Amino acid sequence: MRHWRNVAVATALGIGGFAGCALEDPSRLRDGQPEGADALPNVASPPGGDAIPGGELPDEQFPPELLEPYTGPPIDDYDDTFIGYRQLVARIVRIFADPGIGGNTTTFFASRIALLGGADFVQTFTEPRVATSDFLLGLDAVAKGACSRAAINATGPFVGLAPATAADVDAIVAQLHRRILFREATTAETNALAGLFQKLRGLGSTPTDAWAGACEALVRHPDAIFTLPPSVATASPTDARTLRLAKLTHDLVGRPPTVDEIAQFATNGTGDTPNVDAAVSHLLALPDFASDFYHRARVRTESGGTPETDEPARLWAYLATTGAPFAALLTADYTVDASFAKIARPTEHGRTGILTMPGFIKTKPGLPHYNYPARVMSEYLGQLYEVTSDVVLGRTPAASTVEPGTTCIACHGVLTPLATQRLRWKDDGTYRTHDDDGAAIDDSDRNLVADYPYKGQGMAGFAARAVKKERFLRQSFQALFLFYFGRPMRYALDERTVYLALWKKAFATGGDTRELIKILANVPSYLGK
Amino acid sequence: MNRRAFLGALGATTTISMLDWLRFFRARGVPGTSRDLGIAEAVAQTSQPRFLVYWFMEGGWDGFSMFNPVATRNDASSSSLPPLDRLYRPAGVPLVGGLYPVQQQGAIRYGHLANAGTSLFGDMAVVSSHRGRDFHSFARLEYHLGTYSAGKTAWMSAVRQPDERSVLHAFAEVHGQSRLMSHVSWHKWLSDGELAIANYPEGTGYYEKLGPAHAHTVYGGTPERMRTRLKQIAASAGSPRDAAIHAFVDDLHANFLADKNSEAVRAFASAVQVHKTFVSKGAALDIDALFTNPALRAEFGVQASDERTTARADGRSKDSPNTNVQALMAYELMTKGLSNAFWIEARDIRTFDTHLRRADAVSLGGQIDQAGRMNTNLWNPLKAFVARLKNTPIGTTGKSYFDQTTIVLCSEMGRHMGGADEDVCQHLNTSSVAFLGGAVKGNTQFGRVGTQTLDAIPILPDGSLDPGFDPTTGLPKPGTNPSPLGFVSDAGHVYATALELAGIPKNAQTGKNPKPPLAFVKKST
Repeated sequence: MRHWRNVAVATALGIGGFAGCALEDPSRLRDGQPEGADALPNVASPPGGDAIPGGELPDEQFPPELLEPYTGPPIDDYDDTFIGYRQLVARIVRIFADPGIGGNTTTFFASRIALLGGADFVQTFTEPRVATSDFLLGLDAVAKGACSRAAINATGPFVGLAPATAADVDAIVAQLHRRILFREATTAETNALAGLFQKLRGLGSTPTDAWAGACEALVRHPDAIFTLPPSVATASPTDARTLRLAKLTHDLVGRPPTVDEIAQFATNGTGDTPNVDAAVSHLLALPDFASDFYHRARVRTESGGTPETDEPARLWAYLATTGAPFAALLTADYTVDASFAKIARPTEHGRTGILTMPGFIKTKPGLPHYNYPARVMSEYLGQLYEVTSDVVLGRTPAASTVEPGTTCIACHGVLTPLATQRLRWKDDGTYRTHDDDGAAIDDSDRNLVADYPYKGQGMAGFAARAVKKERFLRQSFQALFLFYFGRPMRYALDERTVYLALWKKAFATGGDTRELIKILANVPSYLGK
Repeated sequence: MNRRAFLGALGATTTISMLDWLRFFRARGVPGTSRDLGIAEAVAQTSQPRFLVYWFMEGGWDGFSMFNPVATRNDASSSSLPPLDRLYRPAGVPLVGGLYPVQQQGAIRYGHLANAGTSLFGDMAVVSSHRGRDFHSFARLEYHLGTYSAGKTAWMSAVRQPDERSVLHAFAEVHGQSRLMSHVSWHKWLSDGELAIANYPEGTGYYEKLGPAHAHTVYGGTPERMRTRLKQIAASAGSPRDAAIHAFVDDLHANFLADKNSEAVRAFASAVQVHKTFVSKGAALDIDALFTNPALRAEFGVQASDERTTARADGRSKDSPNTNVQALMAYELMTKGLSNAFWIEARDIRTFDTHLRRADAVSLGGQIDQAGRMNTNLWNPLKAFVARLKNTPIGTTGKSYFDQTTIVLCSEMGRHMGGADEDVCQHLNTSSVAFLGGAVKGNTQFGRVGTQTLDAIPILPDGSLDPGFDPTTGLPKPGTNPSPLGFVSDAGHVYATALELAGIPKNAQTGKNPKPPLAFVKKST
């Protein structure tokens, strides 16, 4: 019955007061008015009497049908994400406190980055979204290398112990669990790991090697390779608080919690839950959050690791870490330099955010191709274009892609005018006002389609309208959902309440990404509740 | 099994004791038995090993210069025709009698893009009445999954269901169980620029984890990556100690997986199963020697640069080496008994997607000639691959690897040679496909493209042209009705035919592809 729990959390989080500002309105800011100075552009009054913020147009409002309770079957998919390369590195470094795994930690992991699926933005540009067999193979090597050194040197999880002897089995088992899995072992687990130790001894292993083997098993334990340790469901309340805190730290700052953080947020939690709001606020203020979000944004924007292709990710990370409106991803009239400082950019960009960045444009050809509009619409407004067999079979002759009544206009009603709005930006990312023949370029939407929702001059005209759309907000929320849940939000199903909470919070805070993350952290399934 | 292989498998460099040998044999089996994977003798024990290779030219080849040949003008330098009536053929190709030269060898008519492949025609069946799709990603997905998207508005982004299979999944499901990694691929479905990765979360689009775990896709990567993977497999499988730890961890994973359901868990379950296969079967071969044989590398024309991956500025990369390296790797993985299903694909993204502005076609003297990239990506490595397969016997069966292999050549679409668009090399459904292998009726061609319609002429179930159409122009014959049995083949027919040729009859083919095999392609037995 998770959907009812989500109703509850949304009710708690979406709490009425949306007396804050609207999403960034370019026209207002151009007039020099501070963000948030005005009232909302419109407040719709949906059935049920609760006022929901939104724009003036129907496609700028929260879908009224989603204000009705979800009545479908319960959806009990298990929410958890597999540990990523950076999270694994940080975890191993923390647990083993050993800068010399395999001789050199950096080299050790760099040599395995392909197997472990990390993105290094030099040779490897993307990273898998889920577990792979290669990752498990790489983890075998990590576990063996790290545990062997730790057992021999009595460091990391073995610190203070004597793994060279067969004594103190229970103590060693207990410490291995605490230091590798951040929780106590159950009686069954104690017996099982001690049994493995004895089995390895029986196969001829020395005590040190047998303990190293036990350590390896725990490094490969599900609790060690999912961001939310699955044992949270059966752990003691004390341990569950720590494990849930570990979920938050892995997701937001890419590492396990520190001793101080455990003391501060887990110990002072309630029942089996840490002090989530305080912990998230703490983590969001750390430099590690900025670097972690930047990495996610680089993967999401498909950076190639160059300063130019990193520019969209820099802006996104800047917005997320400073609380600037996330709508500025498409409407910022500034950019962000390598030190993550906000800087001015040439005026021809206008208020277009990433949309006119060379690193964004160069891989998305414009006319005669439609890659650019298709990618902008699908990535940032959630509009998919799939030319399926039915579309092919249903094609009729058309004088142009935007001829009313044809199958073409179903997609090209947006793609074509958006392509014309980008015409002043060449595929190499340079700006021009005249074409190769010397003719002035009309980069308006040319009124090609009567009901084109993003009418205006150039990409700034497009962006100004786009950021008000319901689909832009939804897709922005989906980006965060993919980051932290590893899946899309079921916005039309049981998570419509989460969607509503995010929607309200976006308006209430002027589009502060950090406040949206706080909502996600309180979604029950996120912390395995 | 030799001592060197044994050393390679163990990573040992010191003296080997009898105990070491016994441990090794206990973990991996006795040489010469079916458990001694990685050597040809083990392969030979299977009386009918099967291999399936898709060789895919991503981007859309110039079909009219390949196996849909038509003799037309090249109007690139003509100023007398209205621009929209002009046809543009590949620049630099000499015309014969003012027309693009259509050639014929044996029963196969072809354009110049196939010049370098004529030595293979005796083993090749070409289907020239064929249609791909003119939308890259959709077309590619259909060549993988078959044609069953009708009625679905979001087929690509739909979560793949348990009864769906790609053609290689379906093949590996039947023939791959004994292999260490049956299904090896060098494609990357989300590599090109038209789809946003964020819109295709885990479980959608091309999904690697269809069918049983032994059929799941393993991305081959570079030779170095494959060696690293195999070394780690050997290391992970190393000893009874490691086996005991694996067993312990397997229990932990099984307990975790018992009652959970999500795409992340589904992926983890696949990873665990594949990993389990890896470490239980091991990799008992001289891994360092893999893909390094100088003679083989010379045959496949491998240079150091071929072994690297390429990436675009947006970070999209197939993480694949050049096709000659893929083919060399496939050959070694086949003959070492490790794998039997391969998707070889042009390394660069949209290698054959040669769009061209009309003005550029004029200044160039015609279309961009794909011959060079065709030879590099297809013919040269394919000829080396086929030669090697033919010359490599399968143990003492009296058969060669080629006898037991099916190779499919295809691309997602053909290309226009003019038209109303400013782009005179737009995507065009009209295309072709070719089959090679021991079960293929060689030196045959089925169907053709009409000189006036520039579209595929329907064929009948026996492969002959539909008599309702003019066999030259492709136009319907006046007073004659098209046959109700006539059809133009598509990716679904290719899917079914590939599996049929590989020994899996239609009624035993898994997946949702509804199309029947092209029976006429199969050699009579």
